[in-house]
Amino acid sequence: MSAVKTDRRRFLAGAGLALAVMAGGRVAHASTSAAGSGKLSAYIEVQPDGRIAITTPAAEMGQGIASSLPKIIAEEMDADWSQVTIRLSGADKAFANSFGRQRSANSDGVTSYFEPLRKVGATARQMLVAAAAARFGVPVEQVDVAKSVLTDRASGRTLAFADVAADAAKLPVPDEVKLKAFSDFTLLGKDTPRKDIPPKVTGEAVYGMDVVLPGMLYAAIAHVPVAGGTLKSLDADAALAKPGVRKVVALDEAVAVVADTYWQAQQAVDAVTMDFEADVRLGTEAIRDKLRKGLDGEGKILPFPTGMEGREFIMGLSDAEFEEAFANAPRTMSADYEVPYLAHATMEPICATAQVDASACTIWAPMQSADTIPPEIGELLGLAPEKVTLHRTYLGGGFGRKNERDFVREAVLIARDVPGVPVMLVWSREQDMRHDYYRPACMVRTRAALSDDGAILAMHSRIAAQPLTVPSPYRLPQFGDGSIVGGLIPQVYAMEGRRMDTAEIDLPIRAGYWRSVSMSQNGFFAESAIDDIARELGRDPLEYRIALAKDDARSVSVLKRVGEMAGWDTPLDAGRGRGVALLEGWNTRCAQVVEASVTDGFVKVERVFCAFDCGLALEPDNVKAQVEGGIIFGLSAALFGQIEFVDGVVQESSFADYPVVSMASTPEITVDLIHSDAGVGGVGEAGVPPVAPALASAIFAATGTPVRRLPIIKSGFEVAV
Amino acid sequence: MSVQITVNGTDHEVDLDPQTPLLWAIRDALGLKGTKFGCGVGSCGACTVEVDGMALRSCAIATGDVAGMAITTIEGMPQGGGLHPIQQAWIDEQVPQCGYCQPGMIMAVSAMLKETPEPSDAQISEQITNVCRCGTYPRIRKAIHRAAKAMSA
Ligand code: FES
Ligand code: FES
Repeated sequence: MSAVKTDRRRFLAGAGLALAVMAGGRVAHASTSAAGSGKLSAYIEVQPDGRIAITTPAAEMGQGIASSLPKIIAEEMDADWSQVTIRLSGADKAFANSFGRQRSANSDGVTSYFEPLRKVGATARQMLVAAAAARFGVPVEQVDVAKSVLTDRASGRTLAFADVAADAAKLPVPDEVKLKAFSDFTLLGKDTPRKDIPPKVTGEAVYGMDVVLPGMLYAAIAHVPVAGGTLKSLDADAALAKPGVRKVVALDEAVAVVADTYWQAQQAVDAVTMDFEADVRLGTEAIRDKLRKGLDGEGKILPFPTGMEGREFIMGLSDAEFEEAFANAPRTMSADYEVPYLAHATMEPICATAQVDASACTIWAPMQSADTIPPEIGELLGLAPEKVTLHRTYLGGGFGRKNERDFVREAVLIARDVPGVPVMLVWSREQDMRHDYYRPACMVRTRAALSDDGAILAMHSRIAAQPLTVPSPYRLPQFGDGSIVGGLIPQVYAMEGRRMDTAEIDLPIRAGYWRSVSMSQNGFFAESAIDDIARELGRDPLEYRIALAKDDARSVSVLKRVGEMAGWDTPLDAGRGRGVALLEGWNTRCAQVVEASVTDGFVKVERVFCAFDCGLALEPDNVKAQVEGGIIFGLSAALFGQIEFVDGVVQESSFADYPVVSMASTPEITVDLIHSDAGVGGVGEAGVPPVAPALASAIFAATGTPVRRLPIIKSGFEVAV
Repeated sequence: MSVQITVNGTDHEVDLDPQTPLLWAIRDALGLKGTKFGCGVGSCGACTVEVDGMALRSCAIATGDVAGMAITTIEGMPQGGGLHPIQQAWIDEQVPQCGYCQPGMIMAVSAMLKETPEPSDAQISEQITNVCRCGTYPRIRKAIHRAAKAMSA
C-alpha cells in the first residue's frame, strides 16, 4: 500500500502534466497535483515513458466516445496517437461540457465537448512548446511539434513531450490558444482503430457487472410487480433461511436480499413474498383508450411552439386559423398513427456497486449520468456532495436507461444497511425488462390542408402521451413536453402554416428517454404523414420530399444520394417495395431507403440504404458503425418491439418475449457519409428514427396497405425474429 | 458442497451448490469476468462458453452437469495468450460497440468454426443466434468470414 503511495507521489511530482477545463472551455488550472489535494482531476497525463493518458469525460456505452474525445485533445496537442492510452471518468466538475454538464445523452458527446477539448489540447501543446523553447533557448515560434516530438527548427534538436512535461506543468496557463483549421487536422476525420475495442474482445474490459472489491457482497432485487405500486409488507423467512444470505432490505417499492454471491441473493429474493398497494392497474387496451380520448381533445391540451425568432416563441396557427385553412383547402389528408411502450433492454442488465458508511459513499457503476449523482445521492444519505464519489465503468449499452439514477439510489440504500461493505446490486433480466423507464406509447392525429400543386397550406399534429419531463426547471409549464412533441412537424419541409399540441395523459408508468427520444416516435409520425400526403397528391415519396425540403441543401443532398444508392427509379419485382424517410436533428441529416418484400403478409427487410451527413465525421468508420447499429435498433422496434401491460404488470421478461433483430433478421445495410462543412453533428441517435417510416412506406409500396401502427406485427403483418 | 471443473485447461475445486448455473461458477467462484450475464434464461447468448468444443449458454446449465468436461471461456482464447484469429478479425472489422455481447459471440463463433470452418452467410444466420443489442451483426458477419479465411490459411 505505502509503496503505491510513494510511487504515485513521485510520479505526480515528477512528470505529470495535468490540465482541467471548466465549463465553456476555459482552462482553469494546470498542475502536477503534487501540492494539490492529492486527487488528480485532469484530462492529460504525460507519463515518463512517453505514453499519454487522456481521460474521456463522457460515458463509453458503445458509441466510441472513449476514443473519439481523447482524439480531439490529441489532435490539437499534436500527440502521437499510438502512444495515447484512454481512461474513463467518474463525476468531476473538471469534466463539464460546453454547457456545464457532465452526462452522456442527446448525442452531444462530440458536439458539446468539441471546442472545450480542442482548447485543452491546444493549451497543452502551447505549454509544452514554451517549456521546450526554454530548454532550447529559442523563441517559441521556432519550435515545431509533430507526433509528441518538439523540434527546434534552426538546430534540428528534438525533445519528447515526456522530457518537458514536468517543466510545462509549472508554466502559467495561457489565456488564449490558437486552434487548428479543420484542413490541418491529421487525426480527426481519419479512421483510427477504437482504443476501447481490444479490451472488449479479450474480455478484459470492466463493465458495471465486473467490478471486484475486497469483501464485497451481492444484492438481488424484486420490485412490486405493478407499475406505480408500493410495498406494504413482506415475508422473508424462507429467504433468510437460504445459504449465503446476510440481510433482507425493504425499500419503498422493492425488496432486496444481500448475500455472499449474486446467485444466492437471486435465489433468496425469489423466495420472498410481498404485499403491495397499487391504486391503478391498467392494461394496454385501457391505456390506448386514454390516448385515443386525448386525441379527441379530452384531458390537458398544451400547445408547442413551431419555432423561435430571436428569443420569441412562434406558436404558429391558432385552432381557428387551422380549421379555416383545412375547411377551404382543395385537398386534405387526415390520419391517426400509433406506437407502443418500449424497453431499452441494454445488453448488460441494470447494476451498481456502492460502499456507504457514516461519512462517505463510493459508487462504481455503468452510468451515462455523472454530475447529478453526488448531489442526489448526498441528499439521499445526508452527506455533502463532496463525500460522494462516482467511478464509471464501461457500459454494456445505455440507450438512455443508464442516465436514470433509480438503481444507484437503490444500491446505496441497500449498502447503507451493511456499513463499510461494498455491495453490488444486480437486477435480473426480468426486473430490467419489467421496471424500466419506458419510451411511452403515443398516438398522433395529423391533418393537412393541401393545394392542388402539392403545397402544404397548413398542418396540425396532436400527440397524446404521458410526459417524460415534468415542468421546471427543464420545461416551461405553458407548453407541452418537448421530449414528447419535439420534431412532430419537421422544420426542413416547407409549409405555410403549422400547429402542434400535446394531449398530456396522466399514467403511473415510469417513462424515460430512449435512444433518439421524441424522434423515436416522431420520426415515424412525421414521415408517415408526409407519405400519406404524397399518396393523396399522387406524388413519388422521394421526389416529393426533395421538393418540400428544397430550402435545406443538406437534406436535399442526403435524399438525392440515398435515391442513387438504392436505385430508386429501377423497377422491383412484384411483392417488393421501397420506402424513404428523412431525419433532421442534432445538426445532422440522415436519409434512408428500405427495400422490403412481402409474401402472404410475411415481411422481410431485404436492404437498407443510408446517406448520412454529420458535418465533419471525426471517425468515419465508427460513424458508419453507429448508423448501422441505429438502423438495427430502430428496426427491432419497428418490427416487433412492444411492452404490454395486463393489470398494471409488464408482460415481457427477456429477449424471448421482447425480441430484437438477430443475425438472421439483419438486412444488408449500406451507409454512405456525405461530408459537409456544417461543423460537427450528433451521431448516436440520428440513425434510429428514419428506418420505421421507411419500412412502413416500403410495405405500402409492396402491398398497397398503409402501416400506421407500430410494431408492424400490430398492423396485420408477420415477421421472423 | 464442491464441484470439480476444468476451465481453460486448469482444474478447479469450486465450493458451491452443484445446481448453481455454470455462469456464476465461472464469474463469481473463479472470478473470470469475461463471460457475461445478459439474461440468465438462455435467451441472449452473452454467457456462451465452449464445453468440450461445443457452444453452451452457461447460465442455463448446472455446474455439476459439466464436472470434468473441458470448459473454455474468453480468457482462454487462445490458450497461451496473445490474440486468437477470431479476436484479431473482430479488431480488424472494428466489431464491438458496447462490447458486452462480444465475448459470448466470439465463443459461439469459435465453436461454429470448429464444425463449419468456412460457413456460408446462411449458415452464419442459422448458427449465430446470440443477441447484440448494439446491432453489430453486419460487422460480425464480415469478421467471421475474415477469421475463417485466416484460420484456414
Ligand atoms: S445470460 Fe445466458 S443466454 Fe443470456
Ligand atoms: S456490442 Fe453492445 S450488445 Fe453487442
